[in-house]
Amino acid sequence: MMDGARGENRERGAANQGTGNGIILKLKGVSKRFGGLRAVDGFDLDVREGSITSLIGPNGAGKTTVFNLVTGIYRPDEGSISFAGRELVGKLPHEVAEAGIARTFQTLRLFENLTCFENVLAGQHCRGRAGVIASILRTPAQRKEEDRMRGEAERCLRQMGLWGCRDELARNLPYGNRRRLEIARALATRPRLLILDEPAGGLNEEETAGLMDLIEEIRASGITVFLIEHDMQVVMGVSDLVAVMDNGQKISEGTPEEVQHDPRVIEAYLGTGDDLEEPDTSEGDNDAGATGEGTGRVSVKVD
Amino acid sequence: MRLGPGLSIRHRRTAPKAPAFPRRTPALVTAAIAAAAVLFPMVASDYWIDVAVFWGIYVLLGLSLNIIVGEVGLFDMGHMAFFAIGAYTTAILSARFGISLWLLLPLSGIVAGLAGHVLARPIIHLRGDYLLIATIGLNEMVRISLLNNPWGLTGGPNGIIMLDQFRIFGLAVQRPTHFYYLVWTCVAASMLALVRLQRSRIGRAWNFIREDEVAAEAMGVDVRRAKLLAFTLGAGLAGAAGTIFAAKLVVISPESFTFMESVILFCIVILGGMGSIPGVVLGSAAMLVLPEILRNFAQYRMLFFGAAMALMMIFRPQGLWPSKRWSTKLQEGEGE
Repeated sequence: MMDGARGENRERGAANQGTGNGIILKLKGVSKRFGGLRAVDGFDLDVREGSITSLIGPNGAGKTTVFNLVTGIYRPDEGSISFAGRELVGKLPHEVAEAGIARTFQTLRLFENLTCFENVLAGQHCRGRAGVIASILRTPAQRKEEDRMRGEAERCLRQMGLWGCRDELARNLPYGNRRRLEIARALATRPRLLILDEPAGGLNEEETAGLMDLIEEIRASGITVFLIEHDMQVVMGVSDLVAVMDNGQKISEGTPEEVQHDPRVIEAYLGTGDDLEEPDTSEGDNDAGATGEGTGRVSVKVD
Repeated sequence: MRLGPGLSIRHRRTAPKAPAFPRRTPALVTAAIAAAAVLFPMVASDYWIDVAVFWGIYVLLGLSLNIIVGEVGLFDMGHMAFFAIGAYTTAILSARFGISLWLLLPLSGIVAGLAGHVLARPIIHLRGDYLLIATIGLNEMVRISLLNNPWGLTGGPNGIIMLDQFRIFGLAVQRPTHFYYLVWTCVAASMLALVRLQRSRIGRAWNFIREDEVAAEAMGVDVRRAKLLAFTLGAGLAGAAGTIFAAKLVVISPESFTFMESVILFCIVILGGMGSIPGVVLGSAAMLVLPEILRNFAQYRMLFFGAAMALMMIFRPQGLWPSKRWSTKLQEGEGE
């Protein structure tokens, strides 16, 4: 990292105050192996609070694995991941969500047979406390909490422009709205860090432009955004910082302009014209979603 | 039900459609069903009242299994184990210590719930068919333990005789009519509690897990804890139903709690519609009352019954009364 020492100091500040321009998420020497494959190999990254940080790289570079390590779906073999000064390694996914990190999935993972409203209420689950007895007795505290959760869900649905279809089942929504619904659900957890895994995947140009505005809007509301994206228009358009991954390692990092001119990036990623077409082809390859990363390209390297 | 701001606005797209029924209809239908249920024993013979009593017990069991299978999507095909634990707890404690059945009703529920919690703990992370096989194992474990008469407590294959009865001011609950009111009061109370749970963060969390476990966990639902809670509550309600069953049957023995009975329970939930409370009532009617009605056809009845089940799964796999999602536009008329 270019300004490691400064970052350390600011991180302490962020942990104390909860705001400011410190490092909100810090990955240090993170590695994850699947059998003989090094899906992520000594990966370092600092995500600055209030920034929009992008992680890019060819298919199978290990990007989604990084997300799964941060959100507690996988446990790293080595290294540390800290969020607002607290260690995340060893925390379960629901604890990570409670700590303030919300995510969307590369292949959508909505609650298909529930309504949009219920989907978004899922995000509020970890902000409630009511137990079985309070729920059966409908205690005043439980009702108050329920009202608050519904109000919050309504706010998130409205923000995403989905209030009109609140009673539709998630599976009946058109594709673009499904993407938005997943973001609404993540926002309902009231996160400090929002992780978006290929939010523009499968969107048309108009929807993509809308998404870029939305990402800016989310950042403006004080939430740090960390995204994986294949669509270079989105990455270069919204990012403050871009990190480039290949074969589980970080090969470059900087502003969008710096990264675009880095010869290593051009070689690994932008060099072959085919790679630019990836947003379309990536859909099918990665159907395994949360667990599908760390194959393909990496396996070629294994002796 | 109280609502957040703005929630009472009618849905734009559905508003123009005239409602099929006046808004009061559900309340009227509920009142009519309740009245019919109260009046039923006055017109029916003891035989049919007894059928209704067992129907009620199976509704309780179905409701308890519906928490596990219907709401969370955990395949439990050994649910009779907890019913047995409840029934035996009642019979043993009643015979040895003469504890009142009214006390044993919640106590057996708690014992069965604890047993459910302890037995499910090591297997709760298993998915789908793996969990199903493990629960079949639980059922057999419990049944065979009861058969082996541990510490002379269970009476082996002969079972235990219950001498005590539920008493209300010295009046014993003995006649079918008495049991009928007892059972269906318990059913009504359980339904109210379960509907409220369904519409709380607890019930929603169960549904999130059923829909997508990974997403539920990523949204902050403690999946393991929520699953264990469902198992504990389900086992507990089955155990409480066991108390009523023991009082009704007088003699309880391991043969009442076979794997086959667990399969029937499982069918009740699937047939009625997963996660649907009215579905459980219909499902248990189909599984219990229908065979009674078909009794006149003697040896053909299981044939009819099996064919009906197969056709049902082909033409209506979502169940007799599929669960409806809660919707913001229904809330004005929402009552219980």
